Amino acid sequence: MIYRYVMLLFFAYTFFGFAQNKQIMYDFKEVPQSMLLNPGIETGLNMYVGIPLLSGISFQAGSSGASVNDFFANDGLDINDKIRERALYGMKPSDDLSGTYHLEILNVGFRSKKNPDNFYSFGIYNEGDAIGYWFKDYAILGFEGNADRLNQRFDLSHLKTRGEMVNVFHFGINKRVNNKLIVGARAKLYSSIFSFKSTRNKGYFVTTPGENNLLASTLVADMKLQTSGLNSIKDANDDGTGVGGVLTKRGLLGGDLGVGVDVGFTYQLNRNTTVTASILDLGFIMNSTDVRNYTLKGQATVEGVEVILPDALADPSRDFWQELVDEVDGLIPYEENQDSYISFRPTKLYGSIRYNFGEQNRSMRDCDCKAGGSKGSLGFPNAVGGQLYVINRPRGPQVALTGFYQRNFGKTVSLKTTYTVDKYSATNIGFGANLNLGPVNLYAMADNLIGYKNLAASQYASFQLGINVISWR
Amino acid sequence: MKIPHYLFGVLFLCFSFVSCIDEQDFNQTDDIIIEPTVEASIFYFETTEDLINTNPDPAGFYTNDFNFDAFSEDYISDNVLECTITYQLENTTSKPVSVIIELIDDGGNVLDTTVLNIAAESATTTDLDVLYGGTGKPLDIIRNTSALRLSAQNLGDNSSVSSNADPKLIFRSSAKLKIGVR
Repeated sequence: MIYRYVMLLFFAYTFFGFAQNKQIMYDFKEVPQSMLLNPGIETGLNMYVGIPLLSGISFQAGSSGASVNDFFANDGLDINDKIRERALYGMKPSDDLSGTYHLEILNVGFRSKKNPDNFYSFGIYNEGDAIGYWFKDYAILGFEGNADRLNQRFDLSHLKTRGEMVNVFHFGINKRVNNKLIVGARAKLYSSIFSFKSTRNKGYFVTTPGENNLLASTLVADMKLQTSGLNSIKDANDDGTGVGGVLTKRGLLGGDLGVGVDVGFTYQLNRNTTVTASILDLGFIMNSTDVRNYTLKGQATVEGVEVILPDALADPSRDFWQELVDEVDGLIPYEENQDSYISFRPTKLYGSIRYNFGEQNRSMRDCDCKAGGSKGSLGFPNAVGGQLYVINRPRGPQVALTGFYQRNFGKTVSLKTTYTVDKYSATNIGFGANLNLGPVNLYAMADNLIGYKNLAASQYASFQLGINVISWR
Repeated sequence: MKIPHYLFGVLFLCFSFVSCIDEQDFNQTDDIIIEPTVEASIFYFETTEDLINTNPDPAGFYTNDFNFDAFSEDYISDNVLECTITYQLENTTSKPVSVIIELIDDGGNVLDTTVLNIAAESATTTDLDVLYGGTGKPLDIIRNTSALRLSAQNLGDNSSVSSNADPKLIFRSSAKLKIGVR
């Protein structure tokens, strides 16, 4: 049974990796949650309140290596052949298996009555993030072994993974500086529920012709897995005291804490053109509670039990086998410790350029801001533009480029469609809709719509939805 | 321009209708076979010609039991599907030699015996593969092996000395195990 779960986990990690790009949401000004992607966004809202647990739900799935259909299609092929061809030898160590989800618990925003150029927002959301790269050499070793692979090095650095579940308490300020510039910043307090990190592994395992014996097995390892919070969750599960209690306690500032910041701006180049950028989750978490770290460091070459006469005659009862085991343990010690460690948040960068056109909505255009200008680019019926997204990953930055078109029908309906190129897909077309029914705001977004022709063959899919109560200026 | 509110319903219904999924068979996970084959050296033995000459016992100039728990480790003994042990004997001494390898269980019982012979100052090695499991010998031999007994017998005289530099008898061995992970 346990093995079944392990296999499911393997496939889940392998084929349902997640990405984090929210390209439809970004700079979709009519959606309140877009403020979480750029604290310096231009907003025409007077206030918003997210419906708890329904205001900001997002889930994204993607795989840069293979799809569910590649393995589970009912095509009559042997699944073992498919795994060998499409995973073991079809995927590269750079193929990532990563993911995130986002669930808002509280999200409130309001414009300052004293200074209408300021917009404040605060809230709490829960977020899970994980990434693992395809552990190719481990998989080959596990599926096929080292036999008849003389001199082939199995690279231990292929194990590269990190992940965490965290509650984020945030407070943001959005300020119109002048007619052209809006800046924003959001302070974040992270309450980590659990985290794991194993990103700097080095070493190899290789079998070579032996100097004395037939074969020499060499292991050079410098590996570390750092965890925090997992042990208490496991204990709570084992002794039946309830995982929920542990998650709640650690999520409400009873676990590891960290701080971070989001910053962003919107700058109006001219009446029709704006540029925006934001940096999100520039922060870290200090993991110091319930920490368990596991290390394997050293190097050893063994050629089996070696008995060399006449030296071995000195003590005929020597336990050569145990000496060999002890020697390897000494050369490559496996150790555990509880040392605190810092985990950096996966920092994200967004940027965009946007060209608005059509007749600007009079009610929005005519709004008189205290700074003396109009609301700038709000209220145009059409917009086209491009967006850039970069996320910091263990193997370096990961980039996505997006082109978009947005159509607004007054304040009631806004539609946005995107075309995105990234490592998951070159045919990612997304669609988002925002609907305002009086004070009720609804939005829904879906990604990689072409993949809906056969969801199982899709290497990327996502959705976001939410409900808010809003009021306009 | 005003758009009817039901537009969204229509749009998402459209997505629902156009989205589909080819037939998948997740029961294929039951057919996944993971049977890696691992190999490593297991035992190396070396002796000098001097030592052979100084032990004229006709029963053998050397015999000893060696603890060897690699095969009897729970994971290996529970999951091994096939095992091939490769033996190699090299002899640069001036006398023919016979080496006997016995696989022994916890109770000291001999489970299997392999004999290797090699001529004096042999230009070639004696190589032998012994298969356990499948079409070979019973796999339980491997599962229950917890010690090796190596015995070496001088089949020649006790006075000659090879003209080879540093004459030796060398025994090498490795094992290749197919493991049934799943």
